[in-house]
Amino acid sequence: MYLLENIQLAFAGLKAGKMRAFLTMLGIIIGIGSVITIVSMGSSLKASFATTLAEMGMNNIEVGLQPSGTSTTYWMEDSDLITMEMIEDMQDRFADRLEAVSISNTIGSGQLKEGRKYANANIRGVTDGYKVSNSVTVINGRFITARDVQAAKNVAVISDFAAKKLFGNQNPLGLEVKLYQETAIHTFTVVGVYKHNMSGFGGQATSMDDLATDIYIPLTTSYYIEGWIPTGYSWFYVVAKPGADARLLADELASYLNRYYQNNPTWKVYAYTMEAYLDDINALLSGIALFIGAVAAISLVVGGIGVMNIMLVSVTERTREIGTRKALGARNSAIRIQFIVEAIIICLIGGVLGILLGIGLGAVGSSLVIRAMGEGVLKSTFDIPVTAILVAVGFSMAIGVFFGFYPANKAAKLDPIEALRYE
Amino acid sequence: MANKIIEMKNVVKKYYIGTPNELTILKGISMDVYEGEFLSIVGASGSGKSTLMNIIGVLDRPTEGTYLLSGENVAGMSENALSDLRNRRIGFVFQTFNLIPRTTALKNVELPMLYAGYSRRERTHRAMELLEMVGMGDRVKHLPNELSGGQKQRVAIARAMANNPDILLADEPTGALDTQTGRMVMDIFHKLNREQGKTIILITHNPELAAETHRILTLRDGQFVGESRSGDDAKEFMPLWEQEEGGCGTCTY
Ligand SMILES: Nc1ncnc2c1ncn2[C@@H]1O[C@H](COP(=O)(O)OP(=O)(O)O)[C@@H](O)[C@H]1O
Ligand SMILES: [Mg+2]
Repeated sequence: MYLLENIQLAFAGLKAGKMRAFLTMLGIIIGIGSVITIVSMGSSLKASFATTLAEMGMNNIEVGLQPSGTSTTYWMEDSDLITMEMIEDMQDRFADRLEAVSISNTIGSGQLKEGRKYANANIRGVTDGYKVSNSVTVINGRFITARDVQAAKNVAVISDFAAKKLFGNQNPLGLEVKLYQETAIHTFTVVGVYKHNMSGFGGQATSMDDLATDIYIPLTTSYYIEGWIPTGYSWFYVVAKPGADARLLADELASYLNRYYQNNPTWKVYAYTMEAYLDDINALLSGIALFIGAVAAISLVVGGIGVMNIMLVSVTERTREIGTRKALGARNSAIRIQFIVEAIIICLIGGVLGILLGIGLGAVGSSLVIRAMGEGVLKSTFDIPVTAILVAVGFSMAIGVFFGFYPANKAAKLDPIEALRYE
Repeated sequence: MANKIIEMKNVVKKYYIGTPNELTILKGISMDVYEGEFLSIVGASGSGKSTLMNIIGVLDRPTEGTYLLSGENVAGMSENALSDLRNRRIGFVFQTFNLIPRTTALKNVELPMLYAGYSRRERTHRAMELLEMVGMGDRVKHLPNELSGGQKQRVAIARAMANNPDILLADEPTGALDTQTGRMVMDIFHKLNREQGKTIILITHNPELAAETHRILTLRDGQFVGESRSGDDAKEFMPLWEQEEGGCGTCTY
């Protein structure tokens, strides 16, 4: 009945003491702000991981070596590595469910040159399976083949970006390209062009012109360039066939390969699906959210007590006003509602400020985390957590009711005569 | 004969009941007030005038005795019922104005109507009328701290009149005002009494103002020690209980 009047009155009161109102709200602002920050960061990061991992393929399984936990020295000998024979064995054994095996070796960056034209490049030695595991889209020619790898051919697949820069509109297939490294120059024949996905994330600080894209060469060729041929691998990717249960396959792959490591005191094989990674990340984020949630809960309680305190002060300051209202015929309930509405308004404003703060911090925070995890690796996505915002609004009102009730009730129960005599 | 609005019999008010320093502030007050009367209560500071006024206005309950307001015994009433009585039947005017701060003159006048549950339109309409009546029609949007004492008191009178109460209770309404503005406030009371037949009880220290009313009751130490009617010699007090009951029949106003 008096709702509108009470709201107007509360605002008039807050306007009269802006600083006090703000300080009172601080606890609520921080509490709600941190909740919204973490929730929006969490959901943005989850979304980012999900899109990134989905792009990489949820069917990807990372297979590698990890300390077996019984030893304290983690030195990896050549004899510890997973050999090509083991991998081929595995491939044969699980042929029905394996789409591809992808081994890659990043050997740094360099510059591709054609006459006076250049293009920056990250050099990756890959197997044919890389095309599947990393969803490379070849738009001209072909990708690196098993035969290229076997023969360690000097062939390369370059990005459409590099092709355009180096060769313009000329078809680059069959043409030679020179790769300049710090100490050496290598020559490759271009056999394919792939489509470079412009990462949505502005990770490249330098100008677009200097953008570095991947150049793919056979894995074996990359070893020759490095001048070092490994006896095996510490990790690689496996891609499960569509429809195969990736998690089950991962478990089976690990136990299959671990037969070779039964007597290895230091190392054992793990196989982990991207999906499992996503679950881990989600679990981690949920853990963080829980922690921040606890911090926020404390700060909300403290904030609520602050509101209660200021409401008690307000009741005391306005004792005469309360007496007057009672003399004019206000029922106790009318006085109670007036002060509860005021407490709700304080909390609600605090809540809204907290939400705005949280959205801002969440956006900044998630982009920082994404950046820290690897430029261009994660797709940046920002979600505004609508549910969390609605809950936050409701929750701040609830705090207002809860912590406003005691002071409001105190006001309602004041003896009108005492209140009118109050100096 | 006019209706009795107030009928009080042997009203006693005590504080600190049952303790060694028990205080008896009102010591058996009996009084009747009739519809249309303009009555003043005078007496030294601390004689119990405000205490009596609070009981009349049902802000307070008597310790002993009976009090009928418009024929109803207020003794057994609930707090909400008393709130509603104050809201509908009583209009308070205070020495210190007691306007609600940070609230416009208009909203102040609307307040009793808000508690009575009138619609916004009705409230605003009536509040404007009342403010016009007290000569504050051009100050409706002003806040209390933008008004002079006399202006505040006029707004307060408009507010007291909001729900057209049976009786106006004014506790030293001119006490904080200079003679001139006090005069203006008194004129409003006279006008309300004369034109609308409003029953008014006025507490005042000023004998001249008291002399303008129909009947003067003198309180000393919690008891009425005299009553005079306008036209009587103000010094010839007669004990109340020796007065026959009478109202405005004898008034010259
Ligand atoms: N709540 C109270 N507790 C104790 N004494 C009170 C209380 N209210 C009033 N009194 C005392 O009652 C006496 C009358 O007070 P009051 O009615 O305000 O006098 P007046 O209005 O005539 O000046 C004073 O002595 C005052 O101290
Ligand atoms: Mg007094």
